[in-house]
Amino acid sequence: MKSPLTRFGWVAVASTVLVVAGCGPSEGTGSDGSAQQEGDKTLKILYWQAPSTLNPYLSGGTKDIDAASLVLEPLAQYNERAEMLPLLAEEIPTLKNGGIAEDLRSITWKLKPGIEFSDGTPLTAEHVEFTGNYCLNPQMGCNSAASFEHVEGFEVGEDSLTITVKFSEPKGFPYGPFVGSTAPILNKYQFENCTGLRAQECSEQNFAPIGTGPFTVANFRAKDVITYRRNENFRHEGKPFFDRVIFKGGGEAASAARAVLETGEFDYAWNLQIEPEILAQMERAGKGRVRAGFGSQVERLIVNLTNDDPALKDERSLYKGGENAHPFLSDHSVRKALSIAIDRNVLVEAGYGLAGKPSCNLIPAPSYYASEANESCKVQQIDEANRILDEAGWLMGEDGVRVKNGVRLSILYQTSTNSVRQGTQALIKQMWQRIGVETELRNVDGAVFFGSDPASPDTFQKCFADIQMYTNNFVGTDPGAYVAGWTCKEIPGPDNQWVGTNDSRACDPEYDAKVPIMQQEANREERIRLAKELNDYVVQDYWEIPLIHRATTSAIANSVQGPTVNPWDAELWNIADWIRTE
Amino acid sequence: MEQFFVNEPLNFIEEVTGLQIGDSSSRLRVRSWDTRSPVVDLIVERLPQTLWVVGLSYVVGIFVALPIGILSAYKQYSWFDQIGTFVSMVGFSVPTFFTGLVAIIFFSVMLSWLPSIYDTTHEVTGLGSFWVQMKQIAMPVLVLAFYNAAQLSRFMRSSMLENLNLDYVRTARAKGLRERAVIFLHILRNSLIPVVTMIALGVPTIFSGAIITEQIFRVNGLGQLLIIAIQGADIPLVQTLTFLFAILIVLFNLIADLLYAALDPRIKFT
Repeated sequence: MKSPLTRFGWVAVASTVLVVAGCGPSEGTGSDGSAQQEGDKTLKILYWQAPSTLNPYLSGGTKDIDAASLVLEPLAQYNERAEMLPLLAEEIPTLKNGGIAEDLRSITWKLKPGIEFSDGTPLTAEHVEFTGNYCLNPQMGCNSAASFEHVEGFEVGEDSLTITVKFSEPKGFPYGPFVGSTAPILNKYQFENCTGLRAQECSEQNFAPIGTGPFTVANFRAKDVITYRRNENFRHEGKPFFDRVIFKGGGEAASAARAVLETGEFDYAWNLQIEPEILAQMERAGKGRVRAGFGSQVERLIVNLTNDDPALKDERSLYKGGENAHPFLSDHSVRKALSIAIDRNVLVEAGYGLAGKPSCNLIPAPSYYASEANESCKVQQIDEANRILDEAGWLMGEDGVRVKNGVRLSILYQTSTNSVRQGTQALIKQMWQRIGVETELRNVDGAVFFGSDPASPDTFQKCFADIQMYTNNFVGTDPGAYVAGWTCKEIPGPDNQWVGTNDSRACDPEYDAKVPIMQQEANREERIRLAKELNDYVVQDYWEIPLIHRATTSAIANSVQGPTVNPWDAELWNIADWIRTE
Repeated sequence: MEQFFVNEPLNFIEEVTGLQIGDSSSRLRVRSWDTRSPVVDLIVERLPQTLWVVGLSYVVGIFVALPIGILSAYKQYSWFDQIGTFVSMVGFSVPTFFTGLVAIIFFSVMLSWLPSIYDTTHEVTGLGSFWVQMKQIAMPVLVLAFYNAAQLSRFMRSSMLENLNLDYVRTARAKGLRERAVIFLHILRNSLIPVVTMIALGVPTIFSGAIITEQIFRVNGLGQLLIIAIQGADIPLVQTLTFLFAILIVLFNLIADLLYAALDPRIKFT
């Protein structure tokens, strides 16, 4: 029987088919049809966090600062080797060329003449001064306040092209204000009515700042997508090489990587925190490449030099002068043996891939700051470690653990909960087993471990373990503040509510004396020499054992040339030079 | 309070219709803590893509689900019903973040037919750009429609089954009515009543977006806005969005009740 319903059934099937067909293959256009229609003059950038403003003074987010760097420019910027390059300034002021005053209390910048904002207004020192005062206004809650630390005031030169920044104290490294993507120059006329409390309300201005950069904002959709057009007033003839940039945000890292490496829909994807093998597999699709930018992040072991025996209760891991020393980690030879028994190459291979390399320094970068004195740690030396321990009197017990005077080499090794870290822990445990060291592993939830609750026993500052592991780095390119982290007064304890960066509780007056010398040194070569010396001091006394120099990775389409994953400034710092070659 | 109940609705109407009501520039506005911009602007900016994608998937879902539900009830336990049941069970139980990912890997990575990332700046100006728009919404719509259709077709089927064996159907057939008339005029009309309610109650979810699907395909719509607002502890934005959703849910509940009365002659307003 052929009922009318059968026909109806066909309609149902047909309509289903129709819907499916609607997304079926297209004739000839291909999935990147839209990209082709727009031509090769469009650059598509994908950040898996979406920008919420284009005013870097109102946001600390990398996504916002990077997105703003296409439009706003500072006086000087850093390249991927952490070298400072003048951008809007004629040259970098130094002591030698007289740009920095002898008393280190002021720095004078000279602007390149003839630079115009994208709306045609000429760039003068007034705009620079305005920007400085804009951020210094205490009512606005400036996110770049760290760049303007100790700034007392500004002085505009008579030619309107020089600006002097005055500091309240001598600065060995005065390159904070107006250097780098966190402190670019705003247009005074645009932001004049947006100072102080009003800064937050000027969404029109904050979403489309007028700058001197290679691009201008055509359309800003908060937390979604930004469209830029080329800045016709850009000072370099013929640059940028793209007419349009689309900066899309949202989603997560894995699909962002896929959009560049596998489907080729986008040209650049930022900060791909994905397992190395997945990334490598995507890269094999042949549409793009993965590049790493090595900043100052180092995954390290922190060696507790105080006794963390739970029986001590309140005095656990408490620094008390020379007393309360760790039963075996206070022995230099044990610390050294632990360090050289580690095969750092294996750790990199297993957990980091492209995003890490073995490190023997706590200041691994900028390259000019990196010490060459400790390279031997890159090779595992089990025999040497065993020899050192034998020599120091730590003799192998019957259970395969070394003992001396009844003290067993048994370590409690803690870190935050994270699959890569637990993998590293397991590997290191095996390596230490080979030198007769017993290891107990422990992991603490990251929110607790890094949360600085003074009441919690599980924070990294409390350090209720023999060894702990995490990553630390310094902000910017200068380690001046970072080296102060290993001084005696930085030891966490009940007196300072357990705030402090010297988790290994090392205290050495000789080291402490060198820190201020380095911080006030304005001569570059001498400053570098002192930084290396301080790094070597910590590394060679094994307060902390560096393991891996970590990087951020980004994916770049093969057809685009120019991007360098720059860890020292905005990643898109040189976008004016990017070019499509195919 | 005045901001919330008077100013913001006014702003919302202004933004959508483009009309100027009173002195709108000096009105106090609810601002997002994250972007520092008025919340309503953010919402209005995102409405189109949410309506396009989620709304269309809902419509597609309905049009697919109803015939399937009717047919599989009419031919209960036939191969069509079996397959339909299997497919809708799959659609019902497999989460969209899985089907979405499978679709991306299949259509974008392997076949490279469709874009995996939605371009919210795309403007439909002609046939060509309409085609591009169709292609970019194809996958999210398909994934969501699959889910919606699975739900609705099960509902339609059971509702039809309930009615198929009732006395009035036998009476209709006994009167000598054509099978088509029996199905469409008698059974379908009666069994649609609960389904229509379901559909009406589901409409607010169109506006709240499909959080996961929007995230996967980067359709930065209202669902995605809500989730990042929650993650970023952007309280004004979360408040406004949830408030808006609450209003919509109340409104569509009312509409569903009214529809009930229109469809079912036994129900009367008193």
